[in-house]
Amino acid sequence: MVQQNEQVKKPVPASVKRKTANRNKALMRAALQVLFFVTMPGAFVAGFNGIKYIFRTMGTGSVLEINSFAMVLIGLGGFTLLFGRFFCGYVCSFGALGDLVYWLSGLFQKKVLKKRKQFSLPKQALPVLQKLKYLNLAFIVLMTAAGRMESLHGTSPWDVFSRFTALKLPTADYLPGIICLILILIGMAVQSRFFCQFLCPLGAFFAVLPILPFAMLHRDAPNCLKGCSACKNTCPVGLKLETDGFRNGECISCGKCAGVCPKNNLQYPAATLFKNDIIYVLFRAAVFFGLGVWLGLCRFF
Amino acid sequence: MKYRNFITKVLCFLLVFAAFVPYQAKAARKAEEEAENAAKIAEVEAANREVRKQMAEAENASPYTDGVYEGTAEGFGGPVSVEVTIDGGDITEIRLLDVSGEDPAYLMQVESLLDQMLQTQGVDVDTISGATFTSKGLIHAVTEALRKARR
Repeated sequence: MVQQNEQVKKPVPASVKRKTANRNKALMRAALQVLFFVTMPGAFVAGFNGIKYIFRTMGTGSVLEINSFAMVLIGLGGFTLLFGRFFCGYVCSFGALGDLVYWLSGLFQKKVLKKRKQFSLPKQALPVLQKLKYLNLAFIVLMTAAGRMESLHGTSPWDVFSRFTALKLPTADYLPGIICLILILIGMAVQSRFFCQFLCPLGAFFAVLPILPFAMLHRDAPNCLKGCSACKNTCPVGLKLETDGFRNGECISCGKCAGVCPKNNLQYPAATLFKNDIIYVLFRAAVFFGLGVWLGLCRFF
Repeated sequence: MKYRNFITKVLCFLLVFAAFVPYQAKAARKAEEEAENAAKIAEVEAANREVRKQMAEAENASPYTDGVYEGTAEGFGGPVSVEVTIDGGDITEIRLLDVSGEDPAYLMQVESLLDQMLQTQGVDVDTISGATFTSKGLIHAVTEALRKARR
């Protein structure tokens, strides 16, 4: 027997490597969400104001101008066409709030209530509920075009949320909005990305944009392990990833599915240009940060 | 086909975008018409302002025509005649023509009325106490002259 002087290192199993990588990716996503929350908390409101501007103007039959709101909408829309709903997955403060609330709810359920699996709404309900945001978008758009937005004053939970991010308390006329926000927070605690999936009018707009296939996740289906549903189980917006989930506008480009796949079957075609998908995430974050500053979304410059 | 979803979305997107072109054209036409209307309204309003200005000036204008006018009225002891000169719309001179029926003492009293009438540019002056009839004769004579001087 040969005396082994060197320590033979046990090879780290792929599954452990993947778990570590996923945890790092999750931390990076959380860090980016915090960064954008601090620097651009009003980005989603500005984007939606662009939509409202267009319809308000068309409602009065006036000439459409490329003002700052329209520019934000074009900027966000253009970015989404090229990179998918990265805005939703990494930048939007309201989405980040939803992630935070759901995560805290999960912690509470597991540690305090000792539940094995976090509560969420039945998966069959999701595709139906996801259509509600289109109704919300249509309603707001019609009201805006008809010039009736004043009657909805004080009802928007986003306005209330914006007050908080400006470190101010909302005034009493925002009571309906406050109640709305509380109900949404409860929803966020029982379903991941509750608002994003079911109510967000800006998300509805992004979902119907023709996002370049280049920017969407593709699955190498023949290579999958039989019976594995890791991607489907981890997706926060309930995509049926084994079918055509990626061509579905619901995908918020969070990348969790790609991280969890044991066979690395899920890829953004665009990411193959970069060394790994972490670089691709940082690249998109940098591009959006520059875009946000240029559009005037950043509260610091 | 693999990209059917994408192609459908692109077509819808292009259709929506294409709809903006005729809308902008129509809105631009409407904006042009509104600008034309606004210009016309501004023109009419300017003309109105001019007319109103002229009317105001006419009102402030003197009710009297330039010239020299005689007026006669009953005084104390007979008729009193005066000659009133209007120049530039103002009463510039009031001259006594015939005051033979009045006593000089009273005439001296009422002479101040002539100055007062020139100052107030009218006949709204008080009679001198103790010389009421002479005062009234003078005032009424000037009133008569001014009546002739009115446009």
